[in-house]
Amino acid sequence: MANFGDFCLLFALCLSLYAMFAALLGASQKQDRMVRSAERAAYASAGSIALALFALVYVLLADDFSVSHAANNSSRELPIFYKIAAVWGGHDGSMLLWVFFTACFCALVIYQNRSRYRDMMPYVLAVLMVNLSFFLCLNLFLSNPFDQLMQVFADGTLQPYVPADGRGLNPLLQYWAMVIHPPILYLGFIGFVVPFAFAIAALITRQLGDTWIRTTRRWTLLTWLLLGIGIVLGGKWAYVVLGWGGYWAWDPVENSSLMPWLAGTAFLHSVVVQERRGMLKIWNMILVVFTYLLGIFGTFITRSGIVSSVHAFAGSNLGKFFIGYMTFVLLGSLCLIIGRRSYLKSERRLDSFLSRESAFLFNNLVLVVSCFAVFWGTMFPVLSRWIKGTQITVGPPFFNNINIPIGLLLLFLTGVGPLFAWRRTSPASLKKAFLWPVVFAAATCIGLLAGGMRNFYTVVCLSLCAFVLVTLIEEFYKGARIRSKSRGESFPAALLNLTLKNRRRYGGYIVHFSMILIFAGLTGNAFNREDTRQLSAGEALKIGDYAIKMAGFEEGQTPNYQFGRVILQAYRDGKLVRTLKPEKRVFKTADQQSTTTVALHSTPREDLYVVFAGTTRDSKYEIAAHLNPLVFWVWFGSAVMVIGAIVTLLPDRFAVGG
Amino acid sequence: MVTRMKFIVGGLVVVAALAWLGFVGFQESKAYYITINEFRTMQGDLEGKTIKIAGEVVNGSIDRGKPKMEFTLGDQKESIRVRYVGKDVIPDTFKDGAKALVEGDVAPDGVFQARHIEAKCASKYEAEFEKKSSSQQ
Amino acid sequence: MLWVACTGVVVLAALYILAPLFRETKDTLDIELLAETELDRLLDRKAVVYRNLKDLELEYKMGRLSDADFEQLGAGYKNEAALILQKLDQMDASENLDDLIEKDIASRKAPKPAAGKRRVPDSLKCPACGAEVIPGKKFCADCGHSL
Repeated sequence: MANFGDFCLLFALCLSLYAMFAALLGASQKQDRMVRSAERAAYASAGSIALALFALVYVLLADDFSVSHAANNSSRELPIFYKIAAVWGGHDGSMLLWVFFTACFCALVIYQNRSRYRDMMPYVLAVLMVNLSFFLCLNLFLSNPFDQLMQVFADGTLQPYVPADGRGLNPLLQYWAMVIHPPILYLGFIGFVVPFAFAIAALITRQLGDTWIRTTRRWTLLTWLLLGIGIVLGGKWAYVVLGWGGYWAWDPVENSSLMPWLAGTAFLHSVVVQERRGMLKIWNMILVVFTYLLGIFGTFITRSGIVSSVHAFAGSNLGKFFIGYMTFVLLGSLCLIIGRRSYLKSERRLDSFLSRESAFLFNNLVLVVSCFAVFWGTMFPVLSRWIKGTQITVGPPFFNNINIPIGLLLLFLTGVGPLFAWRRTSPASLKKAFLWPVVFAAATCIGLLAGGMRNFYTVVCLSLCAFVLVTLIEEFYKGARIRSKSRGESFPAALLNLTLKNRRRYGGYIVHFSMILIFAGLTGNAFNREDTRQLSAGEALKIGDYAIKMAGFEEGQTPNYQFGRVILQAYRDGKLVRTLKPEKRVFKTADQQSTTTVALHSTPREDLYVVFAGTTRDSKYEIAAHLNPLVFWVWFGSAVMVIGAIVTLLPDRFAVGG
Repeated sequence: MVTRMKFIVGGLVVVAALAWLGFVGFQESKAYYITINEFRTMQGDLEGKTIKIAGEVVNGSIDRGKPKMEFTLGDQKESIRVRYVGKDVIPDTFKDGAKALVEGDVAPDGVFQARHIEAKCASKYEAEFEKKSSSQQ
Repeated sequence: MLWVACTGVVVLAALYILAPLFRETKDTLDIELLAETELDRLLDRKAVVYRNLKDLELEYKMGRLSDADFEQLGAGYKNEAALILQKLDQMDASENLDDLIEKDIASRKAPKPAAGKRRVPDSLKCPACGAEVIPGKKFCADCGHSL
């Protein structure tokens, strides 16, 4: 079965290369039937990869430990759910999953457009196949999940070896958010190849209007959404499983997922300017190329080990191939863009500083600066090693110092942007529009200062949140009122229809609203508290308004691990609020890895977060307690973001008539 | 034209401010990532600097008995004694043979005092079987 | 067993993929498909322009734009919509696709007409009273005639 999987991968590579050549040949010879053959080859390639994936799942479920991927990532007692997750528990299998998703996307895109844009589609297909072939080559020749497990025997020869049991799935991955986090993240990285492919095809065929943007709008949005979900899930996992009390550490692998998301956000905004005013055409081209490259870069950082991180897979020699491919893509795309620059001239120019275009431009500027800063900070160790010889790493203060002000600027623009009109805003309309938002922002500011809040960023952030909130409320309220008057609908109906008939705009506003919630949640970080104590039965730890009393201790076993669990009672104002049971688990893997399970009592106001660090020599229990304000709003805001994005993604049949 | 200039100037001001903030953050948090060997040879130069060292936890060297936990960090050739003075809970992955990354500075008594410890499971994603068997020869 | 499966996969795939190459071709690709592509593009751009107009109206009603700016921006979009509708009419009317392609090529080579031609073609006038109407509207703003 493993050999069958290997064969299917190789066959898929042949098919994708055929598809690429046939598509290009068909386009240049104007032979539609060659292009159709190429399309079928692309579908067949996806099918072949699906067979390979099926083979890997079979190998895992059948406990075939002659295959190195199975031996390294699975074990006999692993529950079936986790055996399947073992596909992406290790480097090789995760590459296969990546390739599978890529091929599925290619097939979908081609199928969707099988009767449209026949001049561009052959080139779209070719670019998609180049991308797929690159990753297939990596998967086949450098990180093949079907490799046999080899061992050096006593007589010095290298021979196949079948162990009695596998090493098991990394216990840190045995948690629901972590299981779905890599697949969702991969979808978020991979999806940007679609707008990229259409952009390249548009450049080649000189069709440089909005077509390439419009056809790929839903793909871009969906990819952006999935990437965002992947990032949030990673944060949630870090918070609940890693046990250090936070959810974002500016780790290189975390950063590498953030960068394409920032670029993607900039891109989603700047294409609006092109559609409305015919400006920023070259910029959109450059941005889509960089968004795609950052997605590749993200997986490059994770897999090449070039920057050390707790996340990274062990160092491998994939690095130079990634660099080669990214360089090729970058140079090729830039050459194309420069060659076609006469088609990308702006139709109009910036008329006023106080205009919607200007707000979008600032939005892009700020997001790009953030992306650049994250890139710089992440790659600094590598650069300093090249240039100076010593590796210098950069920590959270660097990233926070730059990104907190940027976040606040973005928040400000979120409120101000919709208040500006396209082209120019009259001072009269500005005064009217700014009035209530500024009033509420000032009130919030004064209220906070009066209440004793002295943290500068917190005051600014929450005041801006109030500002943006009021602008959003006004947008929805005014819009609904106008609609209900002109069409005689009731106010609630008008509100619903307004949103459904202007999904892009009002779905976007819902996403902006979610950002307010998330930013408010983030301000809590400045006030995190922590205390660690060694307790015996009956003793208590005090943190904030809570008293945490040690009530008991349990031990036990599951098929997978042994556990030790402390029973704690959390009191507030003398009343029992919650019984918390933080755990420590020791897994039955070859290296006896242990994990902590955090006990969490989450309210909108704050999180009480308790970790069992271990038993001490004198039979006391070491408990670390954190009090993290407002974390709830980060997760809640993320859920609202998903809803908002879904609204913008809704298909047209939800909007009846004009 | 004027509008464009306004935008460019505004943009430059914002970028400059952020660059300055970034520089300050950089100075605050920069750490030199060196090997154990370099740590020994550069002793004098390292005063006052934040340092990161990577290595493996030497088997049996973890001593939690003292007020501050100590252990020996080693690579193929050399090793140093490390004292943990940080506040965070020690990660679960920190045990004999684990790959560890310590960040801290040199204490007055010459011992490396770590404020942060990161630990990774030894060769988690490599064919550990290969290593096991070669050590059996 | 393995060989059977692999050969089976290869043979099936080859049949599926190479089949189109042996089809009776309806000439070499092009004319029809390109015309359809051109149609797609025009319809796409028309949808964008109409949405731009709709959004513009919404923002005007919310008081973001002065009257003058609303007129000016609106006129720009309406002009573009007019040109697109013209082209669409031509495509409908034309029997001969070759003619159409040739006309298109000729027009690309010819110098562009002066920008800012303000004359609104008939398709944007109310059939009853002749007043200018915004595309996509259901009723004429002046006389109320259904469009």
